[in-house]
Amino acid sequence: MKIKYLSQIPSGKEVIIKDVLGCQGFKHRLYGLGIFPGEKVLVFKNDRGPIILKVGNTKLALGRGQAQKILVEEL
Amino acid sequence: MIKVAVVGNPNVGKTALINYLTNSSLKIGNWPGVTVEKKEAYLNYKGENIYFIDLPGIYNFTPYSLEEKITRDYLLKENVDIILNVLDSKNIKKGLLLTSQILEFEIPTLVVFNMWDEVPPNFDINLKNFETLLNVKAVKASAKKGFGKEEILNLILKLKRENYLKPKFIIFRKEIENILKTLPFKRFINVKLLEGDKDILKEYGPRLKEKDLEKLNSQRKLLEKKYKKEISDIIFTERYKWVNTIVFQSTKGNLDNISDLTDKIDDIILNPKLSPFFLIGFIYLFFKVIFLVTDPFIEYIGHIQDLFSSLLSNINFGKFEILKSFIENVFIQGIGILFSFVPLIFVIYLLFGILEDSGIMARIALLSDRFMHKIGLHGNAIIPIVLGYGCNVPAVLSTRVMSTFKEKLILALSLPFTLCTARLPIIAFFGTTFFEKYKSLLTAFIYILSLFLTLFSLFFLKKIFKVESSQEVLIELPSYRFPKISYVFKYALDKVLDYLKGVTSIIFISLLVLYFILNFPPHADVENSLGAYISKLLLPLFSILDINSWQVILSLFPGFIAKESVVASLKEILSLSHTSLNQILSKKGALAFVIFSSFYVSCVATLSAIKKELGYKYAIFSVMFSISLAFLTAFIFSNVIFQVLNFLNMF
Repeated sequence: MKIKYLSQIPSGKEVIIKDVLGCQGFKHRLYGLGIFPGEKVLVFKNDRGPIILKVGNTKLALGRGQAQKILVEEL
Repeated sequence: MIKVAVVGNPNVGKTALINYLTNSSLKIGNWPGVTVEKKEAYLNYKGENIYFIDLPGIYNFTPYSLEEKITRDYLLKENVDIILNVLDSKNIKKGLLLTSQILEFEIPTLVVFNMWDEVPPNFDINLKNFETLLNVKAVKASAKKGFGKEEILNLILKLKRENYLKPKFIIFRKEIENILKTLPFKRFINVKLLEGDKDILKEYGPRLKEKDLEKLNSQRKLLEKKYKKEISDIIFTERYKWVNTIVFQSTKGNLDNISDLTDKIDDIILNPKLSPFFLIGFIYLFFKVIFLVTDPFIEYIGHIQDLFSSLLSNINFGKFEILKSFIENVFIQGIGILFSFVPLIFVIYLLFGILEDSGIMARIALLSDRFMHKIGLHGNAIIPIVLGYGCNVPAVLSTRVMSTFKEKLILALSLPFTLCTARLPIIAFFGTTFFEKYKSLLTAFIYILSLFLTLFSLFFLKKIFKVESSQEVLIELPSYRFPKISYVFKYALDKVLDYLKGVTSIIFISLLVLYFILNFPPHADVENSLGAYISKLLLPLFSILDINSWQVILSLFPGFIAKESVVASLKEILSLSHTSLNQILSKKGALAFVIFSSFYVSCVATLSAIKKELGYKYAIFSVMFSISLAFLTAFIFSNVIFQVLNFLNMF
């Protein structure tokens, strides 16, 4: 399976988090929100502006720049 | 007394749960020195006094936001008897990640699976297994549906009676445990020391022997070299593993992607083609409601003020006649100003409460972020800015929606440049007197100038206070729910009291000073008053703006109390000194005066709101800053426009 950036995944697709890049503070923030290597995430909306994810049953909005630091694998 | 600290992720219903447990006796204040809300409640249950403190919702103890610091320090230092760890039953994994860190405080813990009514019927938790695995007490509850209360309260008493259960924290891999074993503090601190947490190292590092500290640092480096990862990452991996094990061993069924009404609504509202319409419609509705509801009340308060004034005028003070105007101008006017904002503040906080509780606020912030981000601001900033164009006071008070102090700071200091409705009479009056043909053009120009100054100020202060360029959004969008009206009402009421407490003194002090300026020495006419003297002193400065009459300058003083009074007092001063505006002010000076008086300072109520939110230092800064910027703007624009119009022969 090909590894992609989260920002490249279209709406409605489920992915597995592979890695989170960036500084320690940023990584820990995402880890606390449930975005951690090995966890499953649903891309709820990815069109314009921030990307909206469903992590477990929590909806999260995160900016495009941040989504470009998250490596994922499509399911 | 049993001290119970309520800890959990944001949006898990902690506040609602405490309200439910204590029969709605929650009190809202602020943590000392910061504007994070502090919520607490007392309950007497079966003869025991229980104190609940609602600690700020957090995800983690690692990157240390203000909320995380407050929660961490409270758990470390305030002798908490019991931690009530609240989880959203639909988001157990995320909740347990925090639980794994909470256990390390080694405080007896009661885990509440809140919102249990919302999990699908095929999902269940085996509480007995869960309790044994963590050595805690656990209970299913729903504050909304009203079950679990007795059980929670009884378990709190039981935890106390049984002489406190010590929770079982995660045992990490051997190499890590071997190091942790050598450290003498609570588990939480030991782990943070090993992770190399700056805050904790600074506080607890010096309590270790120097060679032990060195040893710890070299051991950390060694491990990080071996795994090619930071220790905190290794520890996170173990936490996630632990969470998955706990979920596997104590639950059955699955919680994957429960699609609900929230998803369906979000599908429509967050659609990029439709969302601008929702946003504009929503903001319009928000203001419509505010002014529709508050206008009659504000008028009513005006009547009451008039009534007091007329009552006062009927009292004979005899020799102390001078006291009459003092009471009228300081006390009655002060109370009038103070209370004229009460309906506005109450309604705005009521709406804020409803918007936040229902989950709508997070969507507004998200939708605004698409364009607010372009000017370097978080989406949340839209509400205070738009509010400012109605009234600056609630706008400043609402800057608490900003996530960091610095963002709040630059926003609150820029808001006085938003053109509140109280400034329109000045523009109208000068427009009529000097620029009859271009009156609407002048109004439009001042509005554009206001927007420009607000943005300029934000940009400028960002540089001054070295605020990092705003990060992208990273927010949770909570599920939509019906707000609990009784709670929201109480919240708004608490906020009004908080406002009255915070601003009363500064309003009365300013009125006192102003009264002195305008009425000293006693029995002197306007021309010989202290105010006239000060105004005349300022003449050389204002002549730069082509304002060459002390009467016009004097009218700026009452404008500090309320912008509405600039025009009224100018008229009064003119009639007292038997002159007219056209005689003493040029067109260029008039233009400069309109610009300057629109922006030189908002009003004493706004200033007191700034003092309340940021402290005296920044309130004084705000005055200096807005006066300077207003002066500069008035100078530049009156000259440029005058030159251009002169060239075009339009005057």
